[in-house]
Amino acid sequence: MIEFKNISKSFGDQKILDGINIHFPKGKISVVIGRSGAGKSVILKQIMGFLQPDSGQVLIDGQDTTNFTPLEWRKIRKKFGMLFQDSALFDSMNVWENVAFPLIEHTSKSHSEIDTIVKEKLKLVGLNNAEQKATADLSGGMRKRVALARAIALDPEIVLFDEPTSGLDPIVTTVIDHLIIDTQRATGCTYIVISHDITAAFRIADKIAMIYDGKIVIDADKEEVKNTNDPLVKQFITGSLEGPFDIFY
Amino acid sequence: MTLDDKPSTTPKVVEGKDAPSVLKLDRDYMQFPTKVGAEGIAFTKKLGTLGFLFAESIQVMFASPFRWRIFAKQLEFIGNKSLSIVLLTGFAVGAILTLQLATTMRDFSSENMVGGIVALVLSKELGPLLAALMINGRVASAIAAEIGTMRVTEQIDALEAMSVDPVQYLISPRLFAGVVMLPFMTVIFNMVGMVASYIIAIHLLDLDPGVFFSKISDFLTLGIIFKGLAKASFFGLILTFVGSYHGYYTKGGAAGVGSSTTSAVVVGSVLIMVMDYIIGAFLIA
Repeated sequence: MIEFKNISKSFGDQKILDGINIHFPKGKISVVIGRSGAGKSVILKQIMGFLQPDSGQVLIDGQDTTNFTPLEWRKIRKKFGMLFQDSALFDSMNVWENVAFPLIEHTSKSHSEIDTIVKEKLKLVGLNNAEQKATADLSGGMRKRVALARAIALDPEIVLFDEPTSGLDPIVTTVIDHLIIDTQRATGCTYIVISHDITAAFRIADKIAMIYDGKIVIDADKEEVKNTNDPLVKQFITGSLEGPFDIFY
Repeated sequence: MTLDDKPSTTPKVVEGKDAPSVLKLDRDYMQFPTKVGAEGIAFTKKLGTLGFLFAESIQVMFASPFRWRIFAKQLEFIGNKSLSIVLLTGFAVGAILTLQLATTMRDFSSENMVGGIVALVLSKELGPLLAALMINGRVASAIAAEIGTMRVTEQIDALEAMSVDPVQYLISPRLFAGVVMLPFMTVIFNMVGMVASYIIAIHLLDLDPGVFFSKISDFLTLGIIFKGLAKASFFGLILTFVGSYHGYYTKGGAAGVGSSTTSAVVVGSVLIMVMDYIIGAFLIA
């Protein structure tokens, strides 16, 4: 389980997170929603140790990461897989090499064992016979699927998704959402998804948290979020211009 | 809040007693030391970042696992792919130097020394310097562009996310390849330069081949050659590190990559020339 305790983070004068408390339960899909620039990606970067909070604690499986050294971060990151917003595939490698990369780096498996795992993961995300394709030849949806295969290659305990469906058409979005659900059910991992796609969030989430103005305004099961009377949450879900949201932030 | 509540962005015109006065001018002057101080702090921070990155790159250079594949690829990129430009420049420098020196020295009846002088100048100074500057033009920019693109497309973050040290993976093998490959390229530069010198001196200026070669052995020692190659190795370290540093700290998308590439070439060239003087002065002392 991952837990944020009273986390604050500012960039210059701009306060991004203002003493937030949130937890991501084990074996569930948690989705953090909020408008662009609300600080959702900052949450992911703090889980991965790319950014340090100004104050508060990030606990990963009960371990306080506040004073982690780079070496300790590198060690704990082996528990994680991450799917980046723009996939972040290595463009000097083909599909096979991208998915095999974490296996080559962190296991002593033979080439044929790695090949078996790569094909299995690619099959899981619906990509057969794409191993030798150059990443430049892939569509947006295919890139996301390869990135997902790479993220789960080492069977991590926790997988983080940064806007997994941004820039994709509705059909591909649904495909990716189903992949997220299916792979989570198959692996039992903890999934944390950052998104501003409300339809996708309600489709995949077990639990939804919403961030607004540096604070968590709701952190509950998706049904509870769907039926909430909180005007901020309601306005964001419906996308209405009328309401308490500061539109010109 | 609704769309109709959009705040006004029209600047206010200040008139009357609130209008800017000479006091504002004073305030601007007062800001000058603050600006200089801020620039100084930013520069110091940059130097610190540069120093830490360099120390880290050296520290993890031979850490396990050694990146043989990337190292070999970089050797090929710095060496093989730069061969044509090194051959061309080496030949041109050897030929021009010989032509200018021999015609000038003919006035003092000492044109027979041209082979030795060209060999000395190439081995000691021009070979390492010009080979490094030519290679810097294509290698530092390519390294900055490649690593910079990886930075802005989150590929470096992806390496970190997969518990791979990006400095050890991306920078250290490039530095090592630069250190190893630049002396080889300098040897090629010098050899081609001497071939050009021979062609011009013997076939164009009708100098005696025996004297040409004997003067080379008079002027040149193994020590001079090795000092030149050591300098080349150091230039290899500079140009690969400058390219890597600018790429690694790239910010701001495609424009950022472009700016990093330009900076890498400019800073690399200036540093190579400054260090050439410092090392030269040190060796003379």
